[in-house]
Amino acid sequence: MMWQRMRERWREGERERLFWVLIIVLWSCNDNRLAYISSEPTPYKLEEPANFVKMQIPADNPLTKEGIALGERLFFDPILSADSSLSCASCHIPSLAFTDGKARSVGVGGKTVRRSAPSLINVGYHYKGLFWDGRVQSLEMQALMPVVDHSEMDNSWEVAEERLRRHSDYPILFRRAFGIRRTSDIDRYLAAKALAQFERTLVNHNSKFDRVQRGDAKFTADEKRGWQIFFDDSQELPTSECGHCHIDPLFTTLGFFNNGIEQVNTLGDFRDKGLGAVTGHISDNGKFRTPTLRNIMLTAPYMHDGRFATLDEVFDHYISGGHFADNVNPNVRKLRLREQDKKDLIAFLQTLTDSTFVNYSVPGSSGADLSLQ
Amino acid sequence: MKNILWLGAILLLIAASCKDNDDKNGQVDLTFKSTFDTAPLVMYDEQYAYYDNLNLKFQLFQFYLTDVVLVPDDATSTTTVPHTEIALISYKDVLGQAAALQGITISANKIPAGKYKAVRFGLGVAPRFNATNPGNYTPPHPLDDHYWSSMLGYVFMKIEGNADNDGDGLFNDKLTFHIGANSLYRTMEFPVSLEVKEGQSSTINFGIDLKRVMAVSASDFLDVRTVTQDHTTNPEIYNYLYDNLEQAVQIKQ
Repeated sequence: MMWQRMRERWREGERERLFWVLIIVLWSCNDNRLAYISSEPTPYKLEEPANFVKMQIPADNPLTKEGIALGERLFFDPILSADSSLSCASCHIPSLAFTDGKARSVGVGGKTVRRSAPSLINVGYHYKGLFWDGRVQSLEMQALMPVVDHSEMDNSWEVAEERLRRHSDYPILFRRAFGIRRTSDIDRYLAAKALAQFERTLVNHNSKFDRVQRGDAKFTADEKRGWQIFFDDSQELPTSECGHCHIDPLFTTLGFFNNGIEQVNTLGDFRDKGLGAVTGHISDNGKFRTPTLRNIMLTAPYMHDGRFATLDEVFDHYISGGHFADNVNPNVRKLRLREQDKKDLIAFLQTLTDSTFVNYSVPGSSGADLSLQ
Repeated sequence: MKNILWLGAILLLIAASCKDNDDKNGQVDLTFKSTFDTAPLVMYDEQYAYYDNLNLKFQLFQFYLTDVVLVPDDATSTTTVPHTEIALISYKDVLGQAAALQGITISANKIPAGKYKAVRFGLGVAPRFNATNPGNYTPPHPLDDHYWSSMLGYVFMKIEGNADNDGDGLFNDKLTFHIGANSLYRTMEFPVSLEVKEGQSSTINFGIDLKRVMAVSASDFLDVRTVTQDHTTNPEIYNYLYDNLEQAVQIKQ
């Protein structure tokens, strides 16, 4: 009966009205309803090095192939920045161990970020706080912040969310990763979850150092001597005291220290208070997160503000014992290193280079099969 | 039918009995308060008078305990009640007097009600744990850090601070003592008179005098003018400090 009436109306010249009804129905399905697309996120088993502390993965954000793929796409897409000019990868370049080679990064409109872009290598293991000052505890929280930082992406999440919802691909990708039902379900928290999932896959454990540890390679004489100096492993060699804060296998304790790079009269005088601005404890002023030394040859310039252009400058700083302040870590003390010791240390540090991500082509080539099919 | 009813009643009784036993537990807190001599130990801010008119400040003092157990009053020497398997007692975040007076507490809330005559623990990281590394643990865990890979073991005790050796008011002489080795591990036992009551908590207080760790007396102390660090490299130094640590831990009834 209904079909008969429709045919009659069709004949009566109501084709145009019917056409628009169909368009509206289709538009409605496409824009707001994604349930017709299958969503069965595939669990992703991260291969963790046996000697690394176990990675903390939140129960509400398990790794999935689809989540990682979405995170990877977002990481390399400038869509999140105000003028669509910068992506996460603009300051975290894979070939530079996810740093940018600058003393301080440059944000939207050429604005200078107050600190250097830290390496993201093994960032999934950072359980003592993220950013140089430890102001957030999870990658999910961290991923929310650069988007709205005026010196970085200078955007608002409202704008970024709307762009993602209107995009031709992202609604489908979010659907596949998180099972959302409508485009309006796309929000900053899901975007951050996807980015966090991708970042947790940036595991680096294939340097020469790692191969030596596994018995698959041997240090040269210089490298071994540098290793002994680094870890104070020989009574006959001087110590560089590096191993206290840059302990293997992550080559960081992830702790926060004042390493004496800033000359101040009192603890209140630090221009950048670092951890102290987060905790409110004056004894935390001037403390910054100890960075990993993995891929150190790729991550110049050094320190949270990139003040040292070369490793030679870094060594000179530590050999001097650094500037005095009441909270300078006592492991930072005058060293008795000769030129040969420095060369051996550099030989050892070169063994920490891991090319896993150096030739990263984007997106979709993070080493795992992350295809969206 | 009658048999089924009887069976049901018996099962109910058993279940009720099990529940009753589970509830006959109390909590026991072990609190460790550190001092330097008699002054509460506070990181960074406070300075402490040492021997020979030297003054010290600290940034870190910590040590491990393993296999903390309570010895029941009526027990043979082999039956003990486990309290905590491994704990890191760290004063790193003790940044004020209030925190220092509060101390560091480790708690266990499933201690069977009853009387206990002693508390026992290993000072350091027991060899079975010292054979592991942070790769065996998911943070937060006492053993997720403080591992010294080149020594293949954990640092049992750390003291880090600064000395004012020349009396100029600047604490710019660095002190770092990182001690750990299986040979240093030892068991300590302290007599207590403790009654754990169902649903209630009890506290056992310990005091640790860091000055006692660094010194035996005015004529027998670690001279920080000449010895400013040890990474378990000089037996004379690390044995001295670790033996002193054992003496510095005292129970406070």
